[in-house]
Amino acid sequence: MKRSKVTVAIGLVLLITFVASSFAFAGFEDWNIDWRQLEGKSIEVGLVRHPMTDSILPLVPEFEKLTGISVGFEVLSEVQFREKLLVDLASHAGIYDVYNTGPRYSWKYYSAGWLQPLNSYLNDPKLTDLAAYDLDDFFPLMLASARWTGEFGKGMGEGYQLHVPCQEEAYCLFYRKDILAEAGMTVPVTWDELYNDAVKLTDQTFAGQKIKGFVARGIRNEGPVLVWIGQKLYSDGGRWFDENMNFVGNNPVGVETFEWAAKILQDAGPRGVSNFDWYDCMNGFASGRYAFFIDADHMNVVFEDPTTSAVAGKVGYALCPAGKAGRKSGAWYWSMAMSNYSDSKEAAWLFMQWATSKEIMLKSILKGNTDPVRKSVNYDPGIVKTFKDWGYYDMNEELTSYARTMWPPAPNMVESMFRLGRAFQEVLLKQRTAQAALDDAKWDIEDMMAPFRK
Amino acid sequence: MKKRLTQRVRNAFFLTLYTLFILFPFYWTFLMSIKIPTDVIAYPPKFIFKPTIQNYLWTLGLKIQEQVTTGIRGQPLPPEFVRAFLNSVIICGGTVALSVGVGALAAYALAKFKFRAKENIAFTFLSFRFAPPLAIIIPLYFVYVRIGLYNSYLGLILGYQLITLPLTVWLMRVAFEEVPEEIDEAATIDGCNWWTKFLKIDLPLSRGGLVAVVILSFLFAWNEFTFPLIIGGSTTKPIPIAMLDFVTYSQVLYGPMAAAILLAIIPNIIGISFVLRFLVKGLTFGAIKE
Repeated sequence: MKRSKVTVAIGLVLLITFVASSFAFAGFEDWNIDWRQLEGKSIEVGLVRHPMTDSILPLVPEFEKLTGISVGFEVLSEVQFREKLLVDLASHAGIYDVYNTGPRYSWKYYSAGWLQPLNSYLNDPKLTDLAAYDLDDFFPLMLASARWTGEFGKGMGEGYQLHVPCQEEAYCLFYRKDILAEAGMTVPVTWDELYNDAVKLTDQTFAGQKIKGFVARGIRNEGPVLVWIGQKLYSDGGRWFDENMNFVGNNPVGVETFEWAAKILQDAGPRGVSNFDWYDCMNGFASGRYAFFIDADHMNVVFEDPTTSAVAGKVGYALCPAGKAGRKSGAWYWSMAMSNYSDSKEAAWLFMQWATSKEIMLKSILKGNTDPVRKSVNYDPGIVKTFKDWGYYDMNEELTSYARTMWPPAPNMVESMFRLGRAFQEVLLKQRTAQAALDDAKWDIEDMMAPFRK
Repeated sequence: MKKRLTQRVRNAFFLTLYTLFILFPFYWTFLMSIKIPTDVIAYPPKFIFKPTIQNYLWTLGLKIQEQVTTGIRGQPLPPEFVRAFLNSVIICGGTVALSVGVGALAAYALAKFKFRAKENIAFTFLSFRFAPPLAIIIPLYFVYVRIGLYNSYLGLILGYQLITLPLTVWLMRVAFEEVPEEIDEAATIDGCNWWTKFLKIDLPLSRGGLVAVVILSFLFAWNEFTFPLIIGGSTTKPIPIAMLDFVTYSQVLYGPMAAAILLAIIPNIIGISFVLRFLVKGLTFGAIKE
């Protein structure tokens, strides 16, 4: 009797294991490629400490079982990862076969010959099941920003597929629903309304807490220009570069934008905001100290989680306010790219294909990897319901008409954005006027761009 | 007398103030390590709250990851802190052993022997510290990857010598020079060759210097960041690199980070308080008559 119970128990466990494992693999085994064609190879993947990484690391044994390829990992935080990646690529050592990157950075890597474009792998039926991988399932603007012909200042959206996206970040206006309701305000739809509302709310007390009206990054790096100042510039019809890649950010629209941005932080922002990076702003907003905040929309996961946020359920989400040319936003996409110095590129591609497939992307968003890059993930019933419960806006609107890579492709775009960040800091700290700071930035940025001009 | 008392009170007051100033960051870190995330970011800061040990459990990998079944929830993976801790111990122990083993002998030669280009050699040792690590890291990385030292303990221990060896050689040289020549001469008369003199006379007499060198090298090695970032990999990651795991792309895990910081300084505190006892001065006082 006892024995038969044990047998039944063992049988049950085996059955469950079998069902569970076959369930996990069912999707991939139906793919029309031979997953085991590169059995025995090994690859090294360099990743940023990121929800995407946290969610796929536990799944990697499944990939190894599926393909027989062994996968090594190195995970570092963003800044340090970029440093190490630069050393690896610049020395041609090729430790990483696959690495995390995104637009802007990939332009530099591609121009230097450090990045292997993916077209030949995508178009090889032996290596890619295009029907199952489904490129059209990616939001189109996102895929476009991962393509570039390599021409200076143009050709984005055409030519080489430099990388495949795995996470999207556009910039939105977070606001406190409870504060706006108590103050009898509606969500600001123009930048001037935002300024006026933020100043009005500053130093008032809500829910027992004295708040500031507005917060956003003020630190001296590329961040402020990319995540919030740029959105005002584009929505007012401005731009950093003209068609011939001349810097035009110091025209009246640019100057007005810098002045406005410095003014809202000075009048409605917290003390010491010139040192605030994203986590300072995010934690402050999550602790309920600010009414408005513009930054990356994927912070929704932190704000909606009651264990990390004191304002869960009270946060509203809106696209950035409209300017003279409507609502516009830049965007950043964490992606996976292949090193040109990899010695097992085909195995690397199998991994990239697996990691950015519909199945894995859906599993990863459940562990916090917002916002989705694939339509199938965005319209998954569970995700639709969660976003609705959060009061989150329609991602489709955001990703098809609002957010895109707003700056033209050039190898030195990263550095030029850092230079603009420095100019903004000068204005924020009232060391120089916006006109003078931007005029100076123009000289430096044109110098940076000069070597790539033909 | 009265004046002296007020002076003492004043001194005590300022010293207490200074001690508080020094200890406050540790106190603050400790508070953070026993707070839940919403308490960490609370403003104004909370001094009275319900403490938790979850941060320590999570950092040490002892907390079972809760299964979230509904909705989207950020679930950062626990850092490999225990492994990083062991890595740090292996790497720093190896580094100190190697640099003391090699460096003390080199220092002895530089202190006691006369040979050509002596000062040039000593200067060469010192020059290892001239260039910032970033200046040599790319070629070093390239060489390491080619010869298979990348992501290995041996590779890191060798790399760390650039930091600890100059320190060892120069400090030990000074320590050996302080041993009076007469003692060496007496030992020679008693039949010591240079090796026995080194082992039995000079090294024991320079114990203070040796201890200082061990402590300093260990501290420098324990806190080194650039070398392990570039020439170490995922399996040889020491604590300063593992500490970065708490800065994720979507949030900073302040609680676990504070817990990890406090755990990471334990070996330093134990090690130093243990070793400090050996820092005895005046071993050679009165050994010779002048």
